[in-house]
Amino acid sequence: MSEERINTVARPIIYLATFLLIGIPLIYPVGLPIKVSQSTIDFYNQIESMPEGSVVIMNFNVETFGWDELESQLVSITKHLISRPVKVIYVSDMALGPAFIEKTLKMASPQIEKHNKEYGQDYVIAGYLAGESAVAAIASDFHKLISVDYYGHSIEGTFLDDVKDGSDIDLVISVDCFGGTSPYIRHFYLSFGTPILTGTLGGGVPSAINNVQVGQIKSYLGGIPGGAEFEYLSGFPGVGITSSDAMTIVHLMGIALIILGNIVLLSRKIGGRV
Amino acid sequence: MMSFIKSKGFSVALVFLTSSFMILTYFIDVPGATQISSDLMVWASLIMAFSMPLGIVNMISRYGNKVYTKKRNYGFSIMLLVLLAMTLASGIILGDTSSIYTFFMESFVWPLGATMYSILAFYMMSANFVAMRMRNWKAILLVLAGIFVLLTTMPAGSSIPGLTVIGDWLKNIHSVSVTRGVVIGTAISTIALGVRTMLGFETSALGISRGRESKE
Amino acid sequence: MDVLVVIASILAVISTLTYYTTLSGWPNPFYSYAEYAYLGSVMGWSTVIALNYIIDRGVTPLTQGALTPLGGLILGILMWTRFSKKYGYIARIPISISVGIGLGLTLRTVIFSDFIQQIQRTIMPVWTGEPINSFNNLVTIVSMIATMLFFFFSIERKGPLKGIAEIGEYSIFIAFGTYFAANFMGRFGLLIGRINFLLAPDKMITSLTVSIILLILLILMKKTNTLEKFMPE
Repeated sequence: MSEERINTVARPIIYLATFLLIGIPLIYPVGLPIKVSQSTIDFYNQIESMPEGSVVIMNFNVETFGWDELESQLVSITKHLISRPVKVIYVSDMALGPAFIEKTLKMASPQIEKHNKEYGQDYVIAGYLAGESAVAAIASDFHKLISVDYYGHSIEGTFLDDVKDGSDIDLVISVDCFGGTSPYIRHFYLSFGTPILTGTLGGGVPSAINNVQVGQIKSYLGGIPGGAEFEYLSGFPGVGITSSDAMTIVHLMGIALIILGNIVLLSRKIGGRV
Repeated sequence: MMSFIKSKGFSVALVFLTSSFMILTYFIDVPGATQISSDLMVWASLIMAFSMPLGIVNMISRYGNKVYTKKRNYGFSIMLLVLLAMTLASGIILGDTSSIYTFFMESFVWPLGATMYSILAFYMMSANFVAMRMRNWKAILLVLAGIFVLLTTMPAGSSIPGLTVIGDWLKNIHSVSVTRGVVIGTAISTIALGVRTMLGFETSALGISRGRESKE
Repeated sequence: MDVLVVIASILAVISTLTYYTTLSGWPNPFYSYAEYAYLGSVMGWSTVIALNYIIDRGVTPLTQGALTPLGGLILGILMWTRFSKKYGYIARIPISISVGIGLGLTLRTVIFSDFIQQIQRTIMPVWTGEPINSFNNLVTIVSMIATMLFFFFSIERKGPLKGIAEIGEYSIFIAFGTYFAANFMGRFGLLIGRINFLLAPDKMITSLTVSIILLILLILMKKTNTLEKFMPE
């Protein structure tokens, strides 16, 4: 059988096996162990260290394609922020982001009720920020761009009255699937030294590690594993933990396929067919 | 006057003046300049918001033409235009927090957008078997690095002592240094391209092709 | 409104599974439905967001007495002249201004965040007294410089430059392996989320039914060579 034929026959089998190896552990969880990494511990500690009354910007740089992977991070971070005595401004620099802010807050509504958080006094959805210019604008003069919230209501009388520019922001958390942290590094960290935390897709981890080492961000969460670790640490279990088994098994399948593919190559080389 | 506005020089002059102003106000504290600078940022974000719906005109033109000329199975184009109209209408008339507007998000926007990118996972898995073959030294390095880091990125990996030592090193030390080299290289090219655009040597961002000024 | 929720749930499952029909390798009308449905709905959705942004950040502050957004609104309206053959050149004014502002914002900060700070962090002692740390520092410095020199195409690669560029090339390939693994994790995060959605208790039966129907239809249409016949031009 030619190598091309092997590859053609293998593809549908691989697709089916992928689906089954993800689906089965989702329905019947195995309970494989998760070890919390140092970056997640640092992420958690940074939020814990914020004094009472701190103002936090939480940026949902999330589009439809990022939600499934970042849901565990977004929901657990939001719930954790709600349980802390901090004030949160929810923004998004993606057009579809505000819909996910609402979705997340709806999922966190038990925590909102439990901690008696009030819209306008403890958190506000500022809504969509169109582009890096908008991020720069709120860092320079918050009220010049934002005079109403996502629902069109005036922000007068909310805690945002005391937020004039980037110097009044104590922490920025940007969970992004499309480079949403960079504008905050450029306009908040560089200008005001604001500490920044980031949650990324799996592919953004090398870049995030670089930003941590350079000192531009304090820490990061990477993909579903990062979300699962934070869920575990913060005490808000969710889809991250339930998806971890599937994630581990699919990684093992990936490694097995690489080895198998190379065995095929080696056997063909030995057989003189390459 | 109109011919001056039409000319490439006018556009380039605008780019040069606004970008120079934004850069200078960052480094030099001039009273009143910061205020103007933040005004300009608000303008830029509003201009970007105005540019977002521009695609609708092209879309209506293209798919409307398919319906008008009765291309094969033009029903799909009708479906597209109807969905576009219904989403727009529900959002504008009923508001963006209404249940009907949310219905379109939950039925089409979100599942289709999420599925679009998740399909690549299947292709990646088949690529593991088909493409990740150690045919030469570079491929060997790539594949081995991939395997070691895969052992690190899987959630249960760090629970097994010693399994992730090499992967952690590759992830935290080696790849970071390469990333840094790429970031610096990208920064240099960003600065070079930016200066070229400011000085008018690069006008593609303004919609002006080289050697062809507007004859309108 | 529960009816809407149920219908949305069914449509979401159908939308997801029709998109996955592309995995069959056969161009088919179900995938076309998914593409067209996505285009139409996302364009409408994004436009509503943009219009609300213009109202909230432009019109509302203006009606409250703030003059700042006026310039932005006028320039934004001028963008729409690009559809006019006679006055299309006017659209270059807002484009030029926004390009200039964006350039200014990027250039004034990227030199610090992506250049100076990156280099500062890389300046570290090769020998720290501790062998592992020293090795790590050496690898970091050499890899970074070699990577940058690999992308240096302006002069001929000979002598020491050739050697360092080759080290850079091998370094990059090792990093590609790392990026591949990181992206692998990322992509499968998205897929796990989708499968989680399809296998949710309230959607499992719908998912199973729709996938069986789609499979039967696909095979039937492939056998009768009618797949392309029902696709849009």
